[in-house]
Amino acid sequence: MAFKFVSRRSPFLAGASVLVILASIWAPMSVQAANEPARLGLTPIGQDGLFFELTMAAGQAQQLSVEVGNFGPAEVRARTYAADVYSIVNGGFGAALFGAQASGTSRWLDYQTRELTLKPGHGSRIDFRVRVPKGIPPGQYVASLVAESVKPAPSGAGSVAINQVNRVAIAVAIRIPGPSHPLIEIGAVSYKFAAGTSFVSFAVANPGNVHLKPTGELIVRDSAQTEIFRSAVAMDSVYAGTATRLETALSRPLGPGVYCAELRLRDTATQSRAAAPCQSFTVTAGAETGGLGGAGSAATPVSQAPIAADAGRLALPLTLVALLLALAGLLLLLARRRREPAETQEGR
Amino acid sequence: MLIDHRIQRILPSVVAAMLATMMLALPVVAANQVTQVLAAGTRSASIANLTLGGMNTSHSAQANAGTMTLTADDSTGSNLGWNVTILSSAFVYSGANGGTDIPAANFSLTSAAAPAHTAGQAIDATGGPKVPVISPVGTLDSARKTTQALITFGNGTYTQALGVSLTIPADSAAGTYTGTLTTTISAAP
Repeated sequence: MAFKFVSRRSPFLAGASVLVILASIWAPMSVQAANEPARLGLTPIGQDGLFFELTMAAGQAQQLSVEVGNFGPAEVRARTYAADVYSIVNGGFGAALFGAQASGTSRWLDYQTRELTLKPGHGSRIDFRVRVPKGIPPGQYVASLVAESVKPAPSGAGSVAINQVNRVAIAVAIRIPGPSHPLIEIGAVSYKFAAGTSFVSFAVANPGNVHLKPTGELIVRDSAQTEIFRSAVAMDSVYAGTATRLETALSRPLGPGVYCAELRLRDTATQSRAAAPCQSFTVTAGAETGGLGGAGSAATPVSQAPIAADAGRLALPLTLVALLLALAGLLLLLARRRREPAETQEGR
Repeated sequence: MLIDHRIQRILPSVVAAMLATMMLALPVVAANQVTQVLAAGTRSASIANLTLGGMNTSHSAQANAGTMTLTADDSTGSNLGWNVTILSSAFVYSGANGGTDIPAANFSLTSAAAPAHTAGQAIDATGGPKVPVISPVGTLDSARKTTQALITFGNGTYTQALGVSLTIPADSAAGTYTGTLTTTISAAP
């Protein structure tokens, strides 16, 4: 009889166990997929290289194609758009954020902002046109195409939460043949203190029509003209027609006082150069600490709230669902166990 | 005796199912802080494992230091190099205490370690991936390039430890502060 009892229960037991285990596997996998940053690709079609390099004349138009792909394991709602390009701090490629007003070369691109739902391993081809306006002078111009997930991925924990946007960006570099006018300009010096570090920066502009990669040297002197800091500097691309700043972290914070800084820059490819004589700046008593005081008085917790992120909200409920399923299986088993002895006795 | 025997037979299955449930479900909480393995065919960069210390209200500004890990991957096989930049928005307040946003300029990159190799092409001292010549440390209200690979380099997966600091203004209200960190991997002249 005991053997018969067990043999009737085994399929139920096995089924309940499988359900519970499947539920427990499904919950973490679902949350993990939802939390993974999107892996999007943006690939020029019919072009060598990872970005577009075009030579065009003023008034000319050209048809181009790009593929937006999903290389991640989950379906992604992606957004793609054309963005202005700017020179980031210390030079380099910066693509404007989504929603920024287009004002530069990106307006030459007939590339409509769109949202795409992409399955894993799938891509979408987008055809667009570049039209250089008539009357545009010779030189180097650059715009960008960007792909990003519509929904930011959460990261971090505690009362400071981070929503992460991961972007892939490619340049659309356009050269209009003609005379080159490389030019570097160095502007005013400035000082700031942040997170325990002193920074000296110079405004740097490229009013010419050629992209530059300036290198050089920055020197800081105290009020007695004694050199207190010297560093070689190497900027990445400072794009034609853009301005940025060269910013260097000093090896130690500057105390209150008057200082001066000088900067020399030279672009090797074009032999253009610029130099700024020692420009004075003042570090005030508050500036060297950036407004940070010592340890605060009577501290009270800002928040014990969990990170404001989808993962944090989903993980716990799904875990509880899995546990509840297990508990339900246990209760069902107990209920069956109570009924079956009676049935067994009646059968006897 | 029969019931005890049945319980003995049932119990291992139930306990095993419960243990499996807990073992498989609990790591979900940590899964958010693990950067996924990257698939072939594209370039990607993401931030994970952001940690910032506990925040307390204070009548003085406080520096709240933390760390995060950047993972960059180039699986295009193009050998054409890449750059990664990060940029922060303001930290928007949410809560019931009438707090104000923390400006993006209060969030700083305080250190950028040399990238570490995870898979693929080895790191080259000259070609990278490497930290730019001018240190990227500074306030993240401006985009900062934390790592770059020159042409013919960076064909692999790499991680980079980044130090960050959020300056909490004096008398900040209790609540949650949410910022948006934009990580961009790019190919450009």
